[in-house]
Amino acid sequence: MKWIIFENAKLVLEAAAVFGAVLLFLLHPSVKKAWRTASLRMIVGAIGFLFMLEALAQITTRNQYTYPQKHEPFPFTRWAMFAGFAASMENGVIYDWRGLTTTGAAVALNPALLYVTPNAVVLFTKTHSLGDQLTSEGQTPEPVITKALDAFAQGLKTRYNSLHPEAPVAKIELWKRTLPLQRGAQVPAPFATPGSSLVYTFPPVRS
Amino acid sequence: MIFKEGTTFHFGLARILVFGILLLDLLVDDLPALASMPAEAFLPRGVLGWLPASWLESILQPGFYHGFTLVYGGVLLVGLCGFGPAWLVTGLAMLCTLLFHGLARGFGGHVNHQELIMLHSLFFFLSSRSYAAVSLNALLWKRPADETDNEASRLLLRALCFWVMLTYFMIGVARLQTSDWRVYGTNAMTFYALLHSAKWNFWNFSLARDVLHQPWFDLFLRVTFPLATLLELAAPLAVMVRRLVWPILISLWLFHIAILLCMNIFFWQNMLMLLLPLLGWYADRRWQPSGSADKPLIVFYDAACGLCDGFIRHVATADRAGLLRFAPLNGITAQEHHITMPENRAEWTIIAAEGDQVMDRSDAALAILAKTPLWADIADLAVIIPRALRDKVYRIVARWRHMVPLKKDACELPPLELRRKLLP
Repeated sequence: MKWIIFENAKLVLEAAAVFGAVLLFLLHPSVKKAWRTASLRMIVGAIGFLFMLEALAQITTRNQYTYPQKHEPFPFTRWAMFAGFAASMENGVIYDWRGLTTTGAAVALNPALLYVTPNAVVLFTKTHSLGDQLTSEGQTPEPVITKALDAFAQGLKTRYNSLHPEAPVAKIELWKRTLPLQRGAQVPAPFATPGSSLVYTFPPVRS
Repeated sequence: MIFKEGTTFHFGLARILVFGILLLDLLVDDLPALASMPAEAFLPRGVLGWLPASWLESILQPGFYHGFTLVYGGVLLVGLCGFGPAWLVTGLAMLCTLLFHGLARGFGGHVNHQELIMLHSLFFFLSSRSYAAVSLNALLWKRPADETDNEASRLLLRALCFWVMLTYFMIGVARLQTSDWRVYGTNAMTFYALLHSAKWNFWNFSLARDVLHQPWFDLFLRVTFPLATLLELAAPLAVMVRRLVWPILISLWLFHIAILLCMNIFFWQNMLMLLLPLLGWYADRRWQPSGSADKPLIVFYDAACGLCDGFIRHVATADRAGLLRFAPLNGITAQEHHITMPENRAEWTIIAAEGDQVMDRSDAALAILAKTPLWADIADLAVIIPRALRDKVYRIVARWRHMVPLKKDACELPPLELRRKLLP
């Protein structure tokens, strides 16, 4: 394996910057003076250990936006970031959940509205992550993805039905919608072809 | 560094801020709602990953969620009021916060910055110093804080404040590392803003798209995005040298408001945590360097050098507490202090003497700057640079110092601040 590559060089630079910032603090005269004071030495040591651990976690933990996550040695230490992309996008994909009630009515199921909590942010991210992995062109989705979607849809169903016992949901659908980013372009309506496409149903129908 | 005048009182306020934010977070997060999610949807992470599957199923039940909310809320309330041993209450709060995030995030996605910042902030309150003042416990029964408490509080406050800014730095660096530089020329911000407009139906998609396509708004995003990254990178340095704290705070607040409007992510915890540098600024507003006007630092300088003359005039004005005195290198005071210089004037160097301690070159320049409130923090930071390197830079500047002309009017009286501090 070739180690001297541009990506690794960038990683080394990131490590140098992060550890450098931590060292700058630890070498500061006021911190060094505290280190020389017996009653403060333990506190300085603990702070130094924490900062070094934070820096190490930052450098070694990756792929926080994928679900299910792999190789995450420090699950509660990686700082979120915006990765961006190299070329402009012409459109964006979003996923819409829909429930079909026992009375035959269709209702939009927005996880962010069903769970009115800060956690809603990550439920939204999860839908995107799973949806993208489900609909990768030319690939059969991994069982772990469909299993995660089944469980997630079951949760949405239970939650909706507890809030609306008068008209419970019997079936759940996940639709993929492509939104054009050009100014003035028509926005496709959700849950309707051809702008949207049905990518998943719950209870699952699988061979 | 910031919090030069930090005390247990300020540290206690910081503790109230952190525990208050965590308590508010718990109150606005409807954790029991997650009981509707089946255990199969849960991805155990962190400490939860060590639990047997049967245990996990037991805790992912409505009863556990309700009970945990009560216990966690109780621990945070105790910490907020400052009751009990600090290490025990804070330790429990840390464990509960880990479990809280583990439960909430186990159903998907990643732990967000605003949650990490709160979890990690608790580390700084394991020491009992945060309970030495501003707690109900201390106010009602305990003795006032002593100087050791204050020293420890100052250290922890500085570390906490630096660490909050360090998290922004880490994000900025990670963004630069993972992003392609071409991202600044793309419609990335528009893309994400549009994508997230669908999240809570907060913005109408078409409306958001049309607003974002306005040339002025597009330009604003393209300019402010890299600018915000630069500010993030400067944040830890800002608290170390106590410079640009206000502009950085205001910019980061505006940045978080923009994130709320564009991406529907409200970093309210971060916005509140940014009050910490503000608390540091408030604590330090009357800070003066330590020293005594009776035993001042005597600065011996080359009076025929324009650069030295300008430097001395500046520090004399900046020395508000009157901790500096100035004397020529070839004057009587220098002779009294047994200071001798080579024949060649180009090899003369600035000297600073405080009691028996005599410093020269960069050490002297930094010791002088350390006596002025304006430059003390920068001098502190510059001391970290190895002396050999500092002196090398000093020699280069010293070699060319006579290129800077003296003030034209040689007979002009020095300013009053300098005249009062001049020695023969």
